[in-house]
Amino acid sequence: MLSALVIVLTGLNASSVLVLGDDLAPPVRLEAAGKPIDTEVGHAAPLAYDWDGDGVKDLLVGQFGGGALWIFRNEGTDSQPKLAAGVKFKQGAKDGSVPSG
Amino acid sequence: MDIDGDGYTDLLSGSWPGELFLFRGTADHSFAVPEMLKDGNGEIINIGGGITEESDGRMLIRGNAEFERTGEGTFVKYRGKRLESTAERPISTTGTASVVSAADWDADGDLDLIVGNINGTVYLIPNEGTPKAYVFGKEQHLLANGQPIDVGSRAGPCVADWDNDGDLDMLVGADDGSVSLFRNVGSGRSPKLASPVQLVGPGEASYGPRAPREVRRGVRSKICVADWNGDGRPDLLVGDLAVQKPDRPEPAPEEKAEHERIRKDLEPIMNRFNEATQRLVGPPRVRDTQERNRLLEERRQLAKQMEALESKLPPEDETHGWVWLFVRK
Repeated sequence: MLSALVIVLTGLNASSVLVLGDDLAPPVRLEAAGKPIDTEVGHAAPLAYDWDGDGVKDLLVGQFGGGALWIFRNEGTDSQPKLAAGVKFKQGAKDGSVPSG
Repeated sequence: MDIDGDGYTDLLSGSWPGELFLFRGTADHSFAVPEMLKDGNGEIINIGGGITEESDGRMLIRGNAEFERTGEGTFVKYRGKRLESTAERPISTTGTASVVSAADWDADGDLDLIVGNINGTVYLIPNEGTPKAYVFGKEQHLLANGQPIDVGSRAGPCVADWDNDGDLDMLVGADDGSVSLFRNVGSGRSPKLASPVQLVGPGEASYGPRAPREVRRGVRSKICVADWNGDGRPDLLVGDLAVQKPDRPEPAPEEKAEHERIRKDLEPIMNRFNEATQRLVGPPRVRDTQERNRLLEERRQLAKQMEALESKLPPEDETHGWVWLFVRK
């Protein structure tokens, strides 16, 4: 467990500097279409990004299995995301991928 | 992230073998086929990658390589070379587990590369070109408090303004599942990273009979900073590699007894398989070609027997890759 740690910087507006240390809530698994997101052969690599350009952030998740990339579109809002079922990133008919050894 | 400055967002990815891949964005929200990033000398970038001759005569390739098993022998294709894997000089391959993102770290107007590596360190590859034509220079270790950043193994970095003071900080995931924050105590133009503070502790991954029944946050954290709940404060997303018992009903007593019998039969076969492997790999490695071929054949037969027995056993564990959200309180 982290002990509480506060860093105060001189010369800066203290209210704009966020407190470090014990300030993360306990983790919860992100879900899509009602199920926790789960990648094949593990090694999930998330990235929040507005994939479909609708002004709301979506979620991309890389996976080790096949070097593939999943796209989870956000059907909710930026403050209450609701992720749709994952769709693999495609390039033509094939899965877009990087080598996975 | 637009690394070629053409107005279309591009996609960057690392890989287990270690090369870095750019999918250039095109019109239509589409992406070109991936290309391996090269440096200013035209060399494919893979920090720590390449060919080494090991002390026992083995050749080790760190990078994207392809095995080709033909009637004439076993070959490995790597960067235009076709190398033969022989009894005298067997070839094995491995990777450098690159994790890449782009950020203008030196504040000169173009995107540099931040690359995590299997050795636990984080590199800066400076862009010595322009926003429309990148030219990547020599990699350098990123320092924190004067020392190279080192999270032990499998660094998974992400740059973001975590403390909301206007400059980019560095967050790094690690093999043990932890996440460390290296605050930028310098400025945007002149970054200076402080010693690490642990934001997230290690996860766990227990295989075989010790795999847990319930969900446990795993290891090999790959991270992303994003304001997930739209409250104006950046949160942390952490992907993992997790292990758990498969969700099946408890076997009946007779089934359990049968599994025990199969496991007892399996043990001596696995031991002979491991012995044959050890003699092939060393040290010391058996070098006589006839003996090596005999050992390879013995291993093949033992592997077949093991597979036949193992197929009758329920798997003891299964792997998962969860995405965890840590909301900023």
